[in-house]
Amino acid sequence: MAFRLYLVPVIGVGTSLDPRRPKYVAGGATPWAAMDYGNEPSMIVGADLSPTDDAALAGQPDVTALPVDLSPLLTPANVTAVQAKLEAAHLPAGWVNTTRTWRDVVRIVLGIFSFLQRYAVVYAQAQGSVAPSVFTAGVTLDTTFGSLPAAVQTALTNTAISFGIATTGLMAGTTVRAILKAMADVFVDAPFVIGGVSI
Amino acid sequence: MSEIVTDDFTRANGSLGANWVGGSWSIVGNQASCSATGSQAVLAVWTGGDDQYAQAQYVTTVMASLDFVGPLVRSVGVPAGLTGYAATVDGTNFVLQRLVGDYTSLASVVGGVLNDTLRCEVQGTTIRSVLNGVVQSSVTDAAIASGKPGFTCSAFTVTPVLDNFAAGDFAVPVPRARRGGLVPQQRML
Repeated sequence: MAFRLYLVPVIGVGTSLDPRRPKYVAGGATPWAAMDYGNEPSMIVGADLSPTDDAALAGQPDVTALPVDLSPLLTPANVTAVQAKLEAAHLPAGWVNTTRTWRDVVRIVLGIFSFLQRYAVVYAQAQGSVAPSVFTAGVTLDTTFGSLPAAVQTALTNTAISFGIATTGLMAGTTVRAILKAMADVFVDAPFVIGGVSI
Repeated sequence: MSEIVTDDFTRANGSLGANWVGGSWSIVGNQASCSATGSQAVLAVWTGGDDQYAQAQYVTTVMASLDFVGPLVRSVGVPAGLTGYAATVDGTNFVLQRLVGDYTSLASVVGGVLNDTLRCEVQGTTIRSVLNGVVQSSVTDAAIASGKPGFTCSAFTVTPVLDNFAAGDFAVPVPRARRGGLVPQQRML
């Protein structure tokens, strides 16, 4: 087939015996590589699967297969579908429109992923425990920064600082949605590699 | 890229020595052997930068699916548990892992057999697993920004064993190519 990206759920509880890993893909003989959304239950995994395996994976109801060619612009129908998929995975999606290519979309999502990857470390080192999902206890993308638990606020702020990002936008009334998108924009020129393939 | 530390573990059985910090590994038969069950890691006393590699020879003669072993980079021991990136073998797969108190598999290929040299590299946000000098996986991960090299294992049914450890720093220009084994600048006795 060809190298392709898939948005898949994460399985595994995170122990050495049952690590977090991409559902359906891990454990097979085909090489794969993935970037995760911090400790949220989503990953983008890349693999060059056989046509049979590709069809089987893409056909799973909880998997979103991205086009092999990421260069086309999204159509209006694509925009609607992508926004729904991203929002369901707690990824802000209001910025997705028909001026974006698939590559734009993937790179912005990977920027959001990168921020929450670092957040999980910052949280763990400060709290002495594995960072829980940001989206627990009723937190949604529309929750404001000031309504988040203090430990989460501190970790978000310190994560931004660790990347050299100004924290002036982290105000009480700023939504998680706006925070994540703003942080992702910092990675606009960042290299993203999955399985040796530059995205 | 320069080599900062090496250790061939050729010395009397017992502790790894003062240049190692961390979990339950010891010298057995001139190799590094995991000496307790569960997840164990040791870190080198390190003066290099955060863009680094660690490598070791895989000499575990028996491996089971519940176990793995391999080199570790950007690691720090923290209250939440071990952190770092590791390139590990489990007897079937060569897996790139991220450890942040929990374990996340970032990439996997089939591979890793007795006497292979396992290597984990990190430069900026690019993490690579390398087997016998050939890159097997590379992936971007922004989670861990700093730490030290070492090696780690998950030991529940076998005793993971490694040999011929080396760690280096990508920040320092390569003075010359090195071939044919490990030539220590700072041997970790």
